[in-house]
Amino acid sequence: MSLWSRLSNAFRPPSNDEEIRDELEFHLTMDKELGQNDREARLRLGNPARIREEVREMHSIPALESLWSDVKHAIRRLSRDWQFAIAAVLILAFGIGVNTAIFTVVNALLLRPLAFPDSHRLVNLYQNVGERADPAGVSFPAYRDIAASTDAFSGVTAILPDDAQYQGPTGSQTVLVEYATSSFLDVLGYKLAAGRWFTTAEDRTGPEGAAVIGYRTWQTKFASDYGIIGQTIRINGAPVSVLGIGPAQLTSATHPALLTDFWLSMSAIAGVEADSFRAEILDRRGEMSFEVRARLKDGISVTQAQAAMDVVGRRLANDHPDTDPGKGIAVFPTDDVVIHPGEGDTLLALVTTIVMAIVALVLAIACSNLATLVLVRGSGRARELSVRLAIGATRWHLIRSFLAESVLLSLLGTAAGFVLSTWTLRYITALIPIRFDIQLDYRVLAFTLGLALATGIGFGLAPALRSTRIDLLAALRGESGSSLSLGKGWFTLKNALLVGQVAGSFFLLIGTAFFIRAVWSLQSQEPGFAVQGVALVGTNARYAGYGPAESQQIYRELQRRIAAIPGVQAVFATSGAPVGSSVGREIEVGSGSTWCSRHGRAGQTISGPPLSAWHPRRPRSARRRGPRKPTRRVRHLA
Amino acid sequence: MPKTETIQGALELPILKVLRAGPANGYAMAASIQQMSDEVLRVEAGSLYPALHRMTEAGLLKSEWRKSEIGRRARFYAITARGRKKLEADGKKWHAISAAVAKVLAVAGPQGVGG
Repeated sequence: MSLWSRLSNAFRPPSNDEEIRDELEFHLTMDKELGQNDREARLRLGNPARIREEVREMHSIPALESLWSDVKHAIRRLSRDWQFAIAAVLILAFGIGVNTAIFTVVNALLLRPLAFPDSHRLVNLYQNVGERADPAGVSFPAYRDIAASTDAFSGVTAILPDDAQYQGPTGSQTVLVEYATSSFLDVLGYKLAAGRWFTTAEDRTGPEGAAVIGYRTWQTKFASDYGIIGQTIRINGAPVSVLGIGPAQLTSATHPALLTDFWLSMSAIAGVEADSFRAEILDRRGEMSFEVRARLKDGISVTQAQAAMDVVGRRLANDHPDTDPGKGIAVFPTDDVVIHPGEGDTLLALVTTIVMAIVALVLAIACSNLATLVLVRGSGRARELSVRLAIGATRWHLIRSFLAESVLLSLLGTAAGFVLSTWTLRYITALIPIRFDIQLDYRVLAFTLGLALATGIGFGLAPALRSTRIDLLAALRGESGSSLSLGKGWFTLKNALLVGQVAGSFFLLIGTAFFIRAVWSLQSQEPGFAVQGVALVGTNARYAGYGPAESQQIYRELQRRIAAIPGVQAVFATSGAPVGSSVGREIEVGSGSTWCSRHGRAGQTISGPPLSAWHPRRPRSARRRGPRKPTRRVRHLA
Repeated sequence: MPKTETIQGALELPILKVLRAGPANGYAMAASIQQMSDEVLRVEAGSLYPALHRMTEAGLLKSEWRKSEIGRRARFYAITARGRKKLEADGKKWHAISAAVAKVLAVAGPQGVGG
């Protein structure tokens, strides 16, 4: 018989089944004709169903046919026992879905390294490594010195990531920008999709700011229109001219999960960051904010590069003792750095371990839940199994049907989990205002599917093996319909599962309590001034294209109109709100009513009542009368 | 199918032999094998019909539905050319083997067969 007819026979009742039946019927008739009574003739014939089955198995691929019937039976049994099926699928869906989503996010944000072409030849440079001063990046003047004085590298580039407001045709929106030097593309090993990159002339303050649009942003915000090249766009109100479209493969040079919307030339900093302490960053040796990446020259090792950097570092410490206290410059292979070598990555490893432990624990609890369900169900089925054994099913048949159920459940659970994880991912990414490049991690999905299968099969098989060994007669009489008859071993297994679950849940509960407590105590922390009843409105007139003089006018008018709103007690404007979203600002409370940025510039109260209006000694009732306006967080108010 | 494998020779050869005399249905075959073997070989339906189908599939037999002696339709089996060839070859082999086994038993003496 051809393979095809065998295959097709596998999925329908064989047509010659009728013939075999007739043939056996004829045999029986002949026996009776020749004098046997009916009972005897039947006894002599044996079990016709068995014979038919044996013949049928010859005509089809038995494994395939029985697989199909196993699946059919599993579906039928599960739909009959739908409460169990739904519970099991839900447990699996949560276990698989949520864990996959969380692991995907953790992996994308914390674990996945940046994948540059030939990244093994790339190194990151850090100034002042080891000192507790914040991001031990490299200052721009130091970058210039490094780039000019070494032949260990074929190229060095400095990158400064930031967020900014892009004034598009539909209004202002938050975008991610990366200021980059002219050497950026050569060092990282990319080619532009269109247009040109920055020149060395654009590496310094002076010429007009230039921009290269990120490939995906070009596709989404600019509808893949090449016409944008050569035009002028406004970022933070400052005009920058578009030179080209970024590499299609590069989403960000600072973090693998980020989507950089615009690369800006160093010459754009003065205009785009006009309001912030960063305006003069290119000339400040004390601002070690740049991420510096370098490509090793052929034949130069990391150790040799480090030796070359030691020389430069000593010279810098010598020439600029006030800004470079002689901590040197460290060289790290780019592949070895996730976010930041030293402190950053140590903390990262800790956080990752904790998150992963929680994920594993949740998964373990889900699995043991499932295991208990399957176990209890399996032991409750002893009677059904013994009936099936009695009417001629082999042990292997029963085990196979258990397996079919487990696999079916696992697959259903994984499918539901997949849906759930895509939802969760969408929800998590929607929580973050910045656009992230996070794709569902299919390896994790495969791993959790494997785990679900192992759990289903392991705990489906255990009762199957056990139940098929039970005392047939006792079970048939219904004496052992419950799990009680299944022996002591059952109790220990179930108890172990139960104890494990309780312990795991308890541990998670305590952990959650600590987290909640921490968040609560953070929220109830006295900042030193009254936050109740204070609403923050963020805006920047410059983004709309107004000049400095006009801006002042607008802010004054804005204040006047807000003050006129019934219930508003006091209004003031500031260039930086305390405990806001602005990076690296410190506030001083108690000794005076000003707060200072670490960069030596005081946040300026532009007009309105002094900061004492924020002081907590005001009567509570008065504060409460203030209207609550939606608080928008924008870095610069004026 | 290791279980049926052992009986296969013992059942296949008598079937082929019976059918060489002319087409027959399953019941008739079982009866004549039993008769020809002086009631030693009792052919169970449970092994006969699967064997007939297996042999048909292997091309040793062909079958058709015909009226039987009692007037009812029955499936009649007939030997094919390949079946004849098989009977000849396996028959020789069977003779050789059974003669050899008989010889060994004779040499081993009564204690070898257990009395």
